[in-house]
Amino acid sequence: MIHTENLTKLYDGLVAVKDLNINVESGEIYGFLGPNGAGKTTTIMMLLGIVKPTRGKIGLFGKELKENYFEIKKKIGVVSEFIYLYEEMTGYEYLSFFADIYQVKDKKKRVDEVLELVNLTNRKHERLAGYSRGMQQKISIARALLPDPDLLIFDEPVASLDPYGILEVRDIIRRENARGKTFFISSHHLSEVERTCHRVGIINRGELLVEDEMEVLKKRLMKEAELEVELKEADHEIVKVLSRRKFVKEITPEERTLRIKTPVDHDYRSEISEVITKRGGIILSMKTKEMSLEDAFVTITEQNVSLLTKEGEKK
Amino acid sequence: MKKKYSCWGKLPIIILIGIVLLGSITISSGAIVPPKKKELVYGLSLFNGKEFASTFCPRSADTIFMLANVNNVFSFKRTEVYYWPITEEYMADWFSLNEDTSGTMEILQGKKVIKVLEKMKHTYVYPQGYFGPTNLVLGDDAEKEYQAYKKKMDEYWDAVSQYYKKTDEWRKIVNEIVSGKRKGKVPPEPERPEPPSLYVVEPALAFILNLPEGEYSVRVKDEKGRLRIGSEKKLVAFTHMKEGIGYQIIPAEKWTYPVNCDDLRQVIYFTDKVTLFLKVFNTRQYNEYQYVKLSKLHAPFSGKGREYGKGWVQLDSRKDVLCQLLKDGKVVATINERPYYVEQSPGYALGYEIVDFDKEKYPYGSPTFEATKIEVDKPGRYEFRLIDNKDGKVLSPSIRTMRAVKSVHANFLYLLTIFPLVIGGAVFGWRRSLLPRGPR
Amino acid sequence: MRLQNFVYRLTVIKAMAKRDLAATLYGVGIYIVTFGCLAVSAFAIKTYFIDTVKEKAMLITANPLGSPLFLCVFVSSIYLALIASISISRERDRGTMEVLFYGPVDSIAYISAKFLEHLLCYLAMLVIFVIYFVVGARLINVGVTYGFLAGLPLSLFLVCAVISFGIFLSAVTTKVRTSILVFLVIMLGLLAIQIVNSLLGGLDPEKVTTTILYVKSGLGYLNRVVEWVSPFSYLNRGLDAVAMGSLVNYLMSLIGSIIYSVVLLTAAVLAFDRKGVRRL
Repeated sequence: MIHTENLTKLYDGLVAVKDLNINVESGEIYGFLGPNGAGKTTTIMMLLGIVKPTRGKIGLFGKELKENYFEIKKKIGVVSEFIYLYEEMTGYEYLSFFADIYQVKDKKKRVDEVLELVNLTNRKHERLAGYSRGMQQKISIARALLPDPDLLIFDEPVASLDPYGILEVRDIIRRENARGKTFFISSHHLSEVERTCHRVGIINRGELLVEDEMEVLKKRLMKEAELEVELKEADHEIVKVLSRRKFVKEITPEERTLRIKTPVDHDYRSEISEVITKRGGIILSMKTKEMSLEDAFVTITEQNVSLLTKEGEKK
Repeated sequence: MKKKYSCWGKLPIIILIGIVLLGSITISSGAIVPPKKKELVYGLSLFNGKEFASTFCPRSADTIFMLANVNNVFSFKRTEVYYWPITEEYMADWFSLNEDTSGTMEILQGKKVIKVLEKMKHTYVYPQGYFGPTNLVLGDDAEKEYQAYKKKMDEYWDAVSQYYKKTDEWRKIVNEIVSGKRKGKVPPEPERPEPPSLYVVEPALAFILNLPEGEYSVRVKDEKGRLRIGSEKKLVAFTHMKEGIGYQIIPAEKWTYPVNCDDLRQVIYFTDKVTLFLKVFNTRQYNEYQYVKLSKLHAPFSGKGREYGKGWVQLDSRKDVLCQLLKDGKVVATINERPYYVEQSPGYALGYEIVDFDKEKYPYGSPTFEATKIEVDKPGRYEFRLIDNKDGKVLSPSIRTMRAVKSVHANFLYLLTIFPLVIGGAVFGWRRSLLPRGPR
Repeated sequence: MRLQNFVYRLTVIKAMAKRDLAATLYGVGIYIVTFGCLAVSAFAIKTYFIDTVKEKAMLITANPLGSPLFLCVFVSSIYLALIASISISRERDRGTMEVLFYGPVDSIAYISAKFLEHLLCYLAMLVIFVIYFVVGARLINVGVTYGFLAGLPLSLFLVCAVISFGIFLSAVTTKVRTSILVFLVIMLGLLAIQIVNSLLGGLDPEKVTTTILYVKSGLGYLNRVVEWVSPFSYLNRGLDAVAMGSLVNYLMSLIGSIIYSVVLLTAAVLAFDRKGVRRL
């Protein structure tokens, strides 16, 4: 769906994007991660033909944008990081306008459909100037969905949404993806990327550092796993014995619950269970708490991105 | 990182200094004296339909324009030429240098010489004086006309001489009668002889060109057949596009401000009522640029932008017509041309009245003008037109429309301007009614 | 493929022009300017036609409404040139331009849409002008002449030249403030050249010094360049053509305006491509 070859963009000698080679397959949700200023938006702008690359190739739907400009653009829906609207228009007028631009068939029906999708049907005849930030973001998403595009490019889609809105967007992404749509999501919020993306590419200072499946990447970056064990009775001896085990990195007793951190290379539940039962402890429940990327790094910042990638590479 | 130096911030100061410098230079400079150059140029006397207009062809002009099928006078002379920048035209100082050249003139069409001209004697005859119509007389007739004029002038001066003698004698007789030395009645004063209205210019030699419509080129060669430098010019002989009838319209209320009405498209607007005096002329329509160049070839910018313009020129007056006034398509009056006299109001009151000229009432006067009087004093759609005296046929190029402007309604024009604001208000109101006021 | 692209562009142009036109018509500016144009014309008709007829007892003219019409055209041209000169930079400032280019919109379609929108604005104003003049002519019994009717379609082409000029300015500038400044500087500059030129031409010969002559000559050359560069010169030429009643001049004026518009719009597209669509 998206294929770049040595994509580079220089601004007066300053490297914005350097030799970027990304591959987004049809039907997948691709997360494009990086700290602020990494080159994510520049990459998206080059994909859309808004910024001219210094060198390199871009293939969209297996074709070059320049040769098939209108045909390709009709199949792409975009939600940008910053919301720019014609504030004097109503929501309905705004979407009708874009429906004309994209030559959407059954314009009225489709506009009502996307408004319903983003829960803005009741507010469609109000001016965009009166919309809240969240509503404005939703109308942008509606605009992107309007032509029923094959490829959706989202740049920080949940940046200004409340938790309910975030859930809605996540639902939309999953639902559309289930219909075969490809998503290219640029973000520096790991939680959303983790929840929705199949594959992830991480960019820093214009260079693609790593590109892999989400699960594989998580495993690469996860330093440890956390187990939560609930005992029938608190037992300090059990805590002492467990703490002496090599596979136990850290143990935190909380009354009858033990939080045990172990390496990710192996599932140590049977070993732990064995130690506890040998000491006469009774296990009421044992849960593996999945470490998220967010737990480790709230956001990908300039400081920890290299850590993320180097640590992953070491492993 | 090096900070780029920018002079843009200093630009206003630079401009200000420039203006001050320029201003001071301007004040300190003296008056201009244009440089003169001796050049061989064509002196031209070209007929424009009514009279001969003088101009000359400076080096920068490559084409001479003249009317086709009439005599035009060309001379190739050495003079001092200078550019007068104030009026943006070249000037020839014929007074300081006016040296004729010898030779023949060749007229070419394409590359073929179609005529070779020798210089011919010519003169200008003004039968009604210098400000009247002009006739160009060629060849031996020119000399005859001039000699006849000279003879008339000699006779006039002789008569004047006799008149002075007779006047002296008469004064002597009157003095004697008054002083009592002589008896008898005072004899009538001798009559001063009338000078001849005729004026004839001394004949001169020049090339006389009379060519049919077309594009040519001209050149002058000396006796040895050598081309005279500067004499090769293109020549365009043009003719009129249309013939028509035009008017000089004298409004009774402002008789000193006559206005021409030569174009059929022109409409005469008046308010309430009007009295007009029409002088009728035959007109011809020419290409504006070409016509202007007949008299302004020495002005390089004359006629600029008018290369495709058309203009009417009034020629001779037309007397063989009657005027019909129509109202709402029906003839309401048929008027002929009459002499009129402008009678000034006596005393301190400034004013005049245009009355029919009566020889008995004004024995020593003459008509101020002869014209056709049109009076309109009621609202309606008016037209006037001319009919031929002989057959009563309507001369279609003479039709003109008159419209009474309803000046009382002029203020409604201002009222009407609110119309777009009303539309805007309606659109604004409609738009607001469509948009609900919702909560954020 | 080319035909398909052309058809697609037309759809996009139509959609964008429609949106922009609606935005303009829902605003107040166009109505105020139209009112201003008519007010100026009303003043001209009253002062230079009706009062002159009264004062001089008569006035002979082939096209009494020609000059008032062109006054309307001139004033509306200045307005259209100004809004055209900020149209692109304003949209770039707002960021809405970028959003358009996410979709199937290219620079040719965008510039064409802007041009079409302003032309349609002028058409809307022209309809109001025509209604005004026709009603006004009946009121004062002037009559609508052939010259007036000939001026109407010509004015459309002349205004095209002015709009193209404004769009070109907008394409080469980035911010709205810069666009307005550049527009004002150019307009004032052109006006200054013409005013100074005529002032120097009318000077008392005794006061004319060598330096003034050099300045006059220089300004004269500059004026000749300005005549081809300034869109308002095309307006003047059109007015002359109608006044002269010259068909050749009329057609030349028309063709000249078309060529001027095409050249400037092409330059606008190229400049636009260089500047980009992103909000700076």
